Amino acid sequence: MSTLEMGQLKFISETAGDSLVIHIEGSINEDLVIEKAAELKHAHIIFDMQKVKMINSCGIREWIRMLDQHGTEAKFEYVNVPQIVIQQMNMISGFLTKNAKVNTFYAPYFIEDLDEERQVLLKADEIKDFKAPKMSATVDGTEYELDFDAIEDQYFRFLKR
Amino acid sequence: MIAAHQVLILSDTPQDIVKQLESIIVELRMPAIRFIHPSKIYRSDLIESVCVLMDHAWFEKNQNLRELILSHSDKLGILATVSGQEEMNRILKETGACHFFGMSGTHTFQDIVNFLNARIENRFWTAETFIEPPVTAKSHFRFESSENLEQQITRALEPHDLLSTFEGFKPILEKILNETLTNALFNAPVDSDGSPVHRARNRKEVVLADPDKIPTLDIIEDADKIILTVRDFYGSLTKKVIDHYLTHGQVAEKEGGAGVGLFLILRDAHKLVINIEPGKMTEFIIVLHKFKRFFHYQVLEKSFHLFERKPS
Repeated sequence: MSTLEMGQLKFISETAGDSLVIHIEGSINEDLVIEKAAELKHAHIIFDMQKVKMINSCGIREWIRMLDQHGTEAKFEYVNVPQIVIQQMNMISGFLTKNAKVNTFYAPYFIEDLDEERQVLLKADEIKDFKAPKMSATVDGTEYELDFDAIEDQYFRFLKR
Repeated sequence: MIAAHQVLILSDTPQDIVKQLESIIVELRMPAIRFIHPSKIYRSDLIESVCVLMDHAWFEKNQNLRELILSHSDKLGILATVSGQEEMNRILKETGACHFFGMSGTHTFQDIVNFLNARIENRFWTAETFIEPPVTAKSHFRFESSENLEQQITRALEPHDLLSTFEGFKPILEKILNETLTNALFNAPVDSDGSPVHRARNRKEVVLADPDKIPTLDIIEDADKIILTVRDFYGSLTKKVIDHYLTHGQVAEKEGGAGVGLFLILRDAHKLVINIEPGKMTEFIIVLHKFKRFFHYQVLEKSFHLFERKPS
């Protein structure tokens, strides 16, 4: 594993088979130095977004520029994408580039009986017709149904791209 | 004789949103309000008014009215029932309206009354416009530099209890503050000729605010809402810039900022109010309702308001 630090942002990379997995930690913002980040060149990169805290407008631009540095032949996959990044992917045209796809992402659910929210990790191929899959959770031995807690058509928009 | 401070309300059909509000607005007995049939409006009516409030449906179905209104879009307030952010953006882009009221919810009527009062009295809206006492928390901060902006924002939010909101609410506030304060520190400062001082600089650089013009942040809360007010003391933002960036969701390949900050703020806010006093001050007021559920945050109606005090 090697770590690339850019201010508050960390890229921790490791090779997994034919892919390079990069675990992103911190805020994707102006700290992202594309020349540095683009040194982690590989034909197939998996970005693990689990520990991304925030992404701002400058971060989105630098991210897109960084991907551009890899060329159009490179393939990118995103895993463990948190809600705050999904919201940006849905908002900003071009954030999710043509050579990139989201494999797994978090989605908000709610347990009405317990008045509790849950972030549930979903696989992109579980989403059929932009409908959230039914989920349940067992808490203290009782099974509860989870309500999807967003407007489906808006939350899953990134899958249409 | 038409009073020069008149608010024109264009309405006609019972289906018209404005018409549905008419009886309530009439009860307010505001002498400056004049109802007028959309097909009977003249250019002189628009010139002499301070504001025109209309249902978006009229804008779409009457070409003559559309052309007339477009030449006075700085006075235009649009009421519309929209199904999502894209539709709101389309309407703002198409009309250039300074005021947009999403009409899907219950908070809008009081806003319209407040809006009419503000226009008639030539006042800005303030954070207090939206507060329903008691105030549950209040704080004030100054941002002397862009150094460690994220940590400064985290500290600013510390006095505010966001535990009763959904998990992603705090990151939304942090992002809005990041965009508005970056704007106040980098984009707002201009020299005596009006030329930008820091606008083209990389946002990684540390800029220091002019000691006489330090941007401020005020946060005020009531039981239901949190209201962020970010103020710079340059007043350099213009309607032209807002029109360009507000609904533009594509990153710009240019020096300085990415050009999507304003777009992101509009997406995240329930109400976005921009007060501009040219050469003196620009104020962003962002109203967010506090919800336990993301869904409720997402479906609440949205509005946009630009109040610009013309130089005398």
